[in-house]
Amino acid sequence: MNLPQFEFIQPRSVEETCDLLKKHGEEATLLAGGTALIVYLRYRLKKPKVVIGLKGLTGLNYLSQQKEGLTIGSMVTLETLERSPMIFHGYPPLNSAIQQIAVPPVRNQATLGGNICLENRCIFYNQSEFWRKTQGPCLRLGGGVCYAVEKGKRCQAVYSGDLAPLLIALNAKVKILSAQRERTLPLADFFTGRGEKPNILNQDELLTEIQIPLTEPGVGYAYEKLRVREGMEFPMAGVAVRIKRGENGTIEQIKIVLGAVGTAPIEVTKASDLLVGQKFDDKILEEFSNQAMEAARPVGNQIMNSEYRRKMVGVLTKRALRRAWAMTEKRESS
Amino acid sequence: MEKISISLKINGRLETLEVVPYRTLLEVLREDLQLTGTKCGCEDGSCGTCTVLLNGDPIRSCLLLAVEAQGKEILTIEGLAQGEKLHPVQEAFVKHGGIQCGFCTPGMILTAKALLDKNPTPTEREVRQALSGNLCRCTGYTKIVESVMAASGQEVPSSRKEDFVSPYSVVGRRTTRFDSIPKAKGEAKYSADLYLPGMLYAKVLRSPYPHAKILNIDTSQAEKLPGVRAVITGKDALPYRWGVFSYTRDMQFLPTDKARFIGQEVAAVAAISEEIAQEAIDLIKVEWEPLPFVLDPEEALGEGAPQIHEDKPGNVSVRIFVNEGDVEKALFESYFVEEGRFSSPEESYCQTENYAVVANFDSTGLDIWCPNAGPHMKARPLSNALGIPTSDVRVRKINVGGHFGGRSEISPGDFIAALLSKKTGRPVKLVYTREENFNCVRQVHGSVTHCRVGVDREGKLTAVDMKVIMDGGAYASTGPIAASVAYIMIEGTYKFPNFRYEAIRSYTNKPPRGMYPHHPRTSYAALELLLDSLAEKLGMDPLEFRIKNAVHEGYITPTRTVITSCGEVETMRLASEKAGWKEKWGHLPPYRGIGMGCASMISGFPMGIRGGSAAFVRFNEDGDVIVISGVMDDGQGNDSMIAQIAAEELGVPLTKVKVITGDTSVTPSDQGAYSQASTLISGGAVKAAAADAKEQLLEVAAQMLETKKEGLVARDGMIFVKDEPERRVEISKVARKALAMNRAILGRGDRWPDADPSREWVKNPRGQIASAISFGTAVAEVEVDPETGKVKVLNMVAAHDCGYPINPMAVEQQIQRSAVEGGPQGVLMEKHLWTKRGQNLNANFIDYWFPLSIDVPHIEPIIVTSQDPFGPFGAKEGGLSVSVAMIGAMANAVRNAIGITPKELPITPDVVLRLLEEKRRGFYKEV
Ligand SMILES: Cc1cc2nc3c(=O)[nH]c(=O)nc-3n(C[C@H](O)[C@H](O)[C@H](O)COP(=O)(O)OP(=O)(O)OC[C@H]3O[C@@H](n4cnc5c(N)ncnc54)[C@H](O)[C@@H]3O)c2cc1C
Ligand code: FES
Ligand code: FES
Repeated sequence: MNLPQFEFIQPRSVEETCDLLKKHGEEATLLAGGTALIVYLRYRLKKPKVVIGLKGLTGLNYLSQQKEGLTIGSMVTLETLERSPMIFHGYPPLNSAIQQIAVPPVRNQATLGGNICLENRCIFYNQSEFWRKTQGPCLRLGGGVCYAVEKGKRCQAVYSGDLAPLLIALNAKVKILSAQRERTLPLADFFTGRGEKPNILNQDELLTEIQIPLTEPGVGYAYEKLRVREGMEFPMAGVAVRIKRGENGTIEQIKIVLGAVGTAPIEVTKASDLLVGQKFDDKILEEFSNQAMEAARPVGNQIMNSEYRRKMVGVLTKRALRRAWAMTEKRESS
Repeated sequence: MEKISISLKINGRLETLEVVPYRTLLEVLREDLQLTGTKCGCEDGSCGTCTVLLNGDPIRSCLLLAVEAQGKEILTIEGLAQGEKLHPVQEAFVKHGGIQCGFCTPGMILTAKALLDKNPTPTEREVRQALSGNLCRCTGYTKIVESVMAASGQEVPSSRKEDFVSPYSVVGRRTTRFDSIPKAKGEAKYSADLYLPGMLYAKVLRSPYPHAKILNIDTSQAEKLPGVRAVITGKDALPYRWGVFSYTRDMQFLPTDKARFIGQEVAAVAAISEEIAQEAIDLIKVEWEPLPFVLDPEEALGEGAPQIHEDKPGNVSVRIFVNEGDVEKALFESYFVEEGRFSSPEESYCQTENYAVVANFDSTGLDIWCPNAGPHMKARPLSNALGIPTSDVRVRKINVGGHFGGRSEISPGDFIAALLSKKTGRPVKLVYTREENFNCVRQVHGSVTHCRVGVDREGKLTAVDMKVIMDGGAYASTGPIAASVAYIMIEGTYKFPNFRYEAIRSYTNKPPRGMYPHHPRTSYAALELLLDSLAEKLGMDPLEFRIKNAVHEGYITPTRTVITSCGEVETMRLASEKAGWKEKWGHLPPYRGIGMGCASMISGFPMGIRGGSAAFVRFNEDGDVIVISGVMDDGQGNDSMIAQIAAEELGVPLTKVKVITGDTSVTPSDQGAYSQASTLISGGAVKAAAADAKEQLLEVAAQMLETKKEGLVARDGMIFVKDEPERRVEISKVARKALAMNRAILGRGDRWPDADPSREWVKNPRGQIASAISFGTAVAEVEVDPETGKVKVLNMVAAHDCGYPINPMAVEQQIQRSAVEGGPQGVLMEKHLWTKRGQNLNANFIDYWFPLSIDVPHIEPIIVTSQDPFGPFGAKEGGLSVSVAMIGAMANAVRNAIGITPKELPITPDVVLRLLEEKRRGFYKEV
């Protein structure tokens, strides 16, 4: 199946990219690693007139450790991150989350920016053009029907990026650039929760940088992913947590972010309210896990059934918390 | 669109090219540079066959625009060897059997090379991790991983293994398959790799309805599109219906009445490019009248269900019924009876090669290249459908990227390409997408099995009563065989004095289902799971229980097949010993489980006038041997197998033997690679032909040595007088001498199944079913995560009685792949889901859970011999019993781990978890 026709432009600088975006507006699409975009194109899920290739932007290919934390250019590949000693030693759970994405050769091509800007997925949508035609257009394609949720009135395609939940848990920020302005905002605010348009990027904007603050002493974090096979699969559910140990083994801060069980990464808000000052024990784990399950919004748009996915959010929450907590212990003693 | 000039350094050479921006690197490599060693198996990043190294790193060339590779250094498989000299990774794949069909091989080898460049001595886990993005359907990954480990200089089991002790010079020895070098180098051509001068490209218009009447097809707009050369519909075809049997002719390759599943072919276009062909397809207007449809096989058989074929009332495609002894009475009198209902959805073959065909029709007839399991089996229906003599259909030899039953039959695509070529007078190529390969070739039956099994107080089986409903999809395909295999395998595995089996294969409005090694998987799982329940009730070890009920040489099955050679008990003993059964059974910690399953497999069943194989053996002037046989090699190694047999029989070294196979323009008829008959029948025919040639050689040699022919022996390239080895002459000289005497050495031989010709699948299921029966036992060990329900496979061991291994390495390959097919694929992971409208929801490798290298452990193969009296050198079949045996083993391992009998397959994590919860809530009693 050939790709649809498009014009291709490969800008040399970020500024030039912004100008091109401004010029071509709705007709343009950005191509980073292409591991997601090429598939959208092949399936005619996107039909841009102009594709702007970002691989020439060496200026967005950096990874540096500063005193505030890590800054990563959006064009850094997942493989570069995976092999970076800075991440391996400084952010081991991030390294392990990256290793769970796709399969190794795909990570050689995939970028961090592309991973964050992934379009939402749905088994009634991420199909060939022929397949979709046999069904008729769904909500996302301008039709009146949602095939995943009976009588559904809004698109519930799943945000399936693996890294955003963990990065949100770590309070990461993203830098966004257009010809007019630059803005930096918490990654948590980057997502819209709309299945058909998952992030807030305007047509003329580009994600340029991801900033991950230093984790303070006493902080531990982890990401747990649900999949059937040990590779190749988008998450059926993902749970990222960040936890801070306080005086005499109590919980000082907690953050739980769910991935792939809703139209955007979901922060389990109740978790943070409840528990400051409590002891980390099985009872509290149960509590968090229930809250996470309650917050999850899986619907029947993946091959794996949604009931199971919701249950697993509970299990993964406990596992992630245990691992994160163990990390706080390790860090304290070291 | 304007082209962009790019220059790439490919395999060390600078290439400057003009490309349109929307072409991928894969397309440029394959189409513009004709570097077809890089394969295309999915185009969505999920298979890894398109892997190339970009500045040393493996990437998916299907996901990279060619323009983005500007200035980069690219290594494809063609650039790896230095001329004749293979790269060490290639060498290791060749030597250690890491190559079967070869379609995944270029990607595997390049990925492995990149790994070893960075990590010269990886652990097994690191290798599996690195290769986890490269799918392989043929090997079960074990020998691939071993090849990589060996390339890194580490010791691997297959290099440690003592050579099989063989009294022969060539047969029975671990032999490098000679298809493996061209495959390792990326030279081997598959159908989609062919580019003929003037070739057109075809696309197919498919039904968007599961069931709809075709009122009218308007092709006028499509015909007018510039670049279009032909448009065809059912009206252009002869009124021909295809069926494997005379009583199952229900399929028009391009239907004129109605479409019966989503994706069915209704029209096709040939144009000067694939883009134009697709554009033309979109211009064809079909007037449809949608009809009520049915997707569930049980509903389809129910009252008032939509009728799918007018002449098949009640949607019964096939009904098989055997009833031997008095099952009701025996069950009534049994000490224990266990029963259950087991269900599973359908699976897919997932050959890594997508179906592709190239057809070239001219005034002399048709040449056609396509993946097939038997060229002669394609030639006949093609000639009928095209209305030309069979001799004018030349199905040509080509490499095949996997079969597994899914390339058994003629495909509508073969006919479509042929008809388009006939109409245009030009070669036509049709290549399916991955989605089409899932839906529009064949699939594997979904099924429901209801089973009852009884035992007496001593643990002897008394009776089995099995009722199976199979979801056959829209057409009969190989239905009568498919609906019979379960009982045939089962009656050959255990002694059942009373035996009843009924299978109803129903039509549904889903893609048609064909042959598969282990369908219906529910039947084997049902029996083996119930056997373990019975063993438990009896307080017997499942191993002892199985040994007690195993069949033996001379045993006659309920439907009257005599077992002529049998190593079943030995497979049970050896597999369980290797797996540590005695230490583990009953002694594993919670949520760990071990399970066992056994199976028999038939080789060479009656196929009437097409059931036999014939072969010729001839000599070149230089003494080289050419074997000509209709056998087909789909990756299982049949070409090497017949070469070994010929070499052994003639007494020449293997290097002297070349083969010409699977080409209807040159090779005599052969039954094809179905019914596990290639070694037995095709190999037998080659042996006979070689023996015939040898007789002729000996006559000449006798004159040369001035002795009697009866006292001569041929071995290691020489003919010598039996007890006077110094009186000898080289065989090549004998062949040459014969020519000087104006006679050509030309051996001929044929072989036919030794089965009861009056046996018929439906009408007369009695009599000898096959020439030989092979046996296998599998043991699996698993660990279940009680919170997620995920099953981790810790160990798989499989023993197979192959009669005698012509090439032990090839038998191991078959055992290992069969183990993955039965276990991780069949029991743990694979299934299709459908929308309410009959659309396949997961016709891709991201959502269809095809096991990766990282999901399966090392598989320990054990070869058992039993010297079959019919088979060449005692050989039967090479490992398929394990696919069935592993179903039982894996299902029982899970049962043993969780203490509940699973009733649905695959036992995915959600299923396991549900069972555990039901158990906790007391729905199940502890077992
Ligand atoms: C077999 C396979 C398995 C996969 N498994 C996983 C998985 O397990 N987990 C997972 O998270 N992903 C998975 N993916 C998806 C994908 O590979 C990754 O998410 C990858 O990180 C996407 O990055 P990219 O650079 O390739 O993005 P691209 O494909 O180039 O782009 C993705 C989207 O982001 C937009 N975009 C890219 N960069 C920017 C930017 N800087 N600013 C604004 N918009 C931008 C593009 O326009 C496009 O819409 C898988 C893909 C494949 C083929
Ligand atoms: S063809 Fe590129 S990954 Fe399958
Ligand atoms: S050898 Fe790997 S797919 Fe056939």
